[in-house]
Amino acid sequence: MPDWKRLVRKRMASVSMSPAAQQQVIAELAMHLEETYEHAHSTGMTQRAAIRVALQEVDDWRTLAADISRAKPQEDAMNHRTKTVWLPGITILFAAGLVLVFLDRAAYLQRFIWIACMAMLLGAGASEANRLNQRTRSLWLPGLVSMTAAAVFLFAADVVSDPFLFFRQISLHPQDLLMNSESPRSFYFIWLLAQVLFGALGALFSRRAGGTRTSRIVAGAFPAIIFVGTYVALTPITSMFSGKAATSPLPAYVASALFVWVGAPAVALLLGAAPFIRESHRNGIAQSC
Amino acid sequence: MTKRIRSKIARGSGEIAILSLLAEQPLYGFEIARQIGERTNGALKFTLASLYPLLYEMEKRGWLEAHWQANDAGRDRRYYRLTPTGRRQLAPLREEWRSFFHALEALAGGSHA
Repeated sequence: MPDWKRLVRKRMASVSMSPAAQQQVIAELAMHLEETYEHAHSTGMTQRAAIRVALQEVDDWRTLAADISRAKPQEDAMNHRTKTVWLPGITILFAAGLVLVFLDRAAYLQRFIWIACMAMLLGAGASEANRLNQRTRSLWLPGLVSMTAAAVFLFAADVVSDPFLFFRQISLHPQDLLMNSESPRSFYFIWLLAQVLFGALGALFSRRAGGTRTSRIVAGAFPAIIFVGTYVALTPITSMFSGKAATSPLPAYVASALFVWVGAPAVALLLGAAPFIRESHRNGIAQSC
Repeated sequence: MTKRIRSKIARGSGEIAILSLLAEQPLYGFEIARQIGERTNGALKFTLASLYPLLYEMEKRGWLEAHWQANDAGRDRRYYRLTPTGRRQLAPLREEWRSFFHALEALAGGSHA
């Protein structure tokens, strides 16, 4: 039996697309020829005749290569959602994490950001699942799943062992931050300014990748979305495991923490994103095509 | 009939055949070609050269989506399935073809009268 992949690769050399997409097309066409051959062979044809039947599937390989080059999406290397949501989101969340590392602040929030980045990489991986090669699907992605699960476990274990740690660490004591100490206030000011830049970057990347208005807003506001997710997910856990939940002034504390870490950053992020959120005429046409 | 019109008809019939088939279940390329040939008694026949450009084109339009899946023998196949957009195309396309054939029938009937 011929090496169908080799045969197709040789005859489809003129196809114009990314190497990854080309590999997939070659694999798919080779599989079709192989099955055509096997089907013909199973009906009693000689090997030679079955090969001839398979080869008759294509009259002109150059025309086929041109037809496929035209038909295949040009952005085949990466799909739309990955380019417009996942990658901009990962980029600005990663940048936010780096700023916290650099300023040596909010270690707990840093951990959460790295976990969120890993989870978003998984999202991007799932989004690109059709294009991933066998090793990525069978080794790297499952590895990332177990890494993320392990990180989530450690994070959850900390929350369970000390329910208020989350609020102490992530909120940086919102009251102090806004009113008392000078140092947290200057940190917070830098943090908010950085959000304006992150929001702009997220929305810009999304717009350059052809993202819709919603994608740009989501990409631009990603850190705030992740932070609100943190509060929504962890507040019940901390309340549940805290014996003081009923008597502590938790609602007011949560509200101020939400304002400091979600509300104000969201405004800053959207402020930065605003110039890139508006639908450009060119993109509108591209969307409708 | 010019070659261009013939090609458009072939393309349109190919699209509706693929959409109809995939509305039932996800299938891979060879199986799509085999089932269309079998179920139309050979009236519609797809070769590799006619099938894949059409599948990729429909995928680009967002009518189909594809994923790789290994069968029991470990053989990787690319399965196509209808997207909600593709499913929405099916009814208007069927209607369009029905009208087209009625028009042809009316014409053929008229010439016999």
